[in-house]
Amino acid sequence: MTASNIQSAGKIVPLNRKGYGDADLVKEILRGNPMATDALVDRFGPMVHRRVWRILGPDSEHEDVVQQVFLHILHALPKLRDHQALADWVNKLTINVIRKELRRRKYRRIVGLSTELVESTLDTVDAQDKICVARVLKVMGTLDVDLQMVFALRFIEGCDMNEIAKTMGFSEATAKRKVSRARKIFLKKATRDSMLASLVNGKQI
Amino acid sequence: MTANRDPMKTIGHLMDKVGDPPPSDLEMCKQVLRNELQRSPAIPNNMVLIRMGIAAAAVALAIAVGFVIWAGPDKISYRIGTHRPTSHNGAWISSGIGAPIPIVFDNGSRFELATNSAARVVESNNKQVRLDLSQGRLDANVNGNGETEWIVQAGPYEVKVLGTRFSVHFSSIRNQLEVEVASGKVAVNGTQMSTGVLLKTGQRLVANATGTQVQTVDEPKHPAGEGSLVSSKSSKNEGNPLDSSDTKIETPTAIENKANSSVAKVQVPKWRKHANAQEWPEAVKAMDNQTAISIAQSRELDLLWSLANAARYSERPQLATLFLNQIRLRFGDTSRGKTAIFLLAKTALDAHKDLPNARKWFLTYLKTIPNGALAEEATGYLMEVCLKMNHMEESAQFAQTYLENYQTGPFANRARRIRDLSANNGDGNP
Repeated sequence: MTASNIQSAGKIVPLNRKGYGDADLVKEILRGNPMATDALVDRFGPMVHRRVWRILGPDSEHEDVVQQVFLHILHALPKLRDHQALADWVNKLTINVIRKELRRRKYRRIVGLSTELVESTLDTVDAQDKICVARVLKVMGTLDVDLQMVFALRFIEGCDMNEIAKTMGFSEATAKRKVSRARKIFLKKATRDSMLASLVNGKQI
Repeated sequence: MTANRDPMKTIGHLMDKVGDPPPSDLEMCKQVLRNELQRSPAIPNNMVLIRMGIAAAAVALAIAVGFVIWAGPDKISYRIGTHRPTSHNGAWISSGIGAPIPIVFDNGSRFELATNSAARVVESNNKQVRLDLSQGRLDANVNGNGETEWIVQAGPYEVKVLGTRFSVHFSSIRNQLEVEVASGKVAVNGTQMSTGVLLKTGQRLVANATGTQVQTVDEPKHPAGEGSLVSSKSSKNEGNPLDSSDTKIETPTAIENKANSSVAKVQVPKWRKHANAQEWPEAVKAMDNQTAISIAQSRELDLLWSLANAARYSERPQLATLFLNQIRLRFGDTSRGKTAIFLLAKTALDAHKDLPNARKWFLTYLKTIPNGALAEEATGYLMEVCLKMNHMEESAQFAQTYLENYQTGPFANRARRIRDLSANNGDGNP
């Protein structure tokens, strides 16, 4: 369907109807407007979805974590003072939920239950790379939660230090320090894995 | 892979191959939020309350002063279904899967909210009547007098009534608007439309993010509901529509009586009759997928639980999965909510032979309640599922866990064989 299919005659001066700005969106949600929560998911869903996917990895609980993020947003929204800062706030809240989820998984690993990779989502990745991805995620999982987060934000998401600091609630100096530490520990652990060692040493596999 | 000086760049490139996530079921997320909003509407924090209080006081003062100067537009009362007339606006009207809900205004204009639809009256006075259609269909029969603006807003669109009978259908999922004009004219505008459109009698408009199309129809697709028969003469502004001397125009009471009688004729859905009689297999048999999706939004845990089990035994695993998933998501803190996780796994395994999903749900059950009533079964099934998936190491781990905790359980012999075989040669088939 295109605009050229319009058959009726005459143009009408468009009425002045704004879409939801961030502040309007917050106001509408606080009023209980179900359309506004739909708009919230439409606006931030792809970002949350991608962030959870990239930091936690493609695992089977992904959708549940995304839903958790939005439920947290809904419940915490009355505490948001600056409605214009909605996007940054959603980003921070997403990171907090991911952080909690990482802590939970760490505990489950200790008691012998691991989170499984959804291998079917890696259908386009070749077998060798699939193994390497799984091992990278495994090594990342052994890092302290904050280090795991900054590692993912820096080396997987490609965020700069300023963004990492803002997202995680650190100073930029702390962000740099944590990124450096995460890198060091990751490389040390990765060299103990036969496949990852080749990868990080830059040798032909 | 070639040599790379910065190992972290190599790691980054590798993880890029994971790529973007598959398309997400954001619709499920939206539904969860809508349910949550209904359950516990967002409550402003103290500072906002204080500000609202101050603002309210200021507004009250302004109104008191302003009222002396100008009385403001007269309210137009309206009636929702069989409730008393009101002129208070804002509350959402949601029709569910029962009969359509009429919204009848004092001047004879009538809107009918179809099933599975939600709308509210935002404004209702002699200058403007505005309805907000959040989802579904609204049939309209407007008694225009030339002075009052009648507007239906639907998502990013606005349908402005110029004295007519028409239908508005809005899908929030597809963000698509359909307007069909039975008689008269409407003007349709929207932020997703490059220009406004004037629709006349016999025209239908379909608008979404990709564009707008106007079609000519022979008969209206969605005629206004039974009983809503204000004549098209009303669009010509012939006198007071409430004047009872004009026998062609029905009074609101007459319209309401017709609406009530048409509501009385509507049958209770067959599935509901069976459910009321506790005939669960028959209830499940009587519902189609669309009905099931609506029922899945129900807040009645007992109903969902009974239907889920009936669906499992009636070999309707997709229905069972739908209901069980809703129980898990919305009643996750209850024991049934947790048991639903186990049942999702069993349904995936038994009906779909879907090993990955079965594995996922059994694992989720154990993570959620490691010492739950079904932990033994979950561990045993996990052992079997992993074996079938050729995950020998994992199968052996579960076999070991099983034997440590349930030495005399039904899976114990099997667990010993798997454990022993795995220890001997790591080979597949016990």
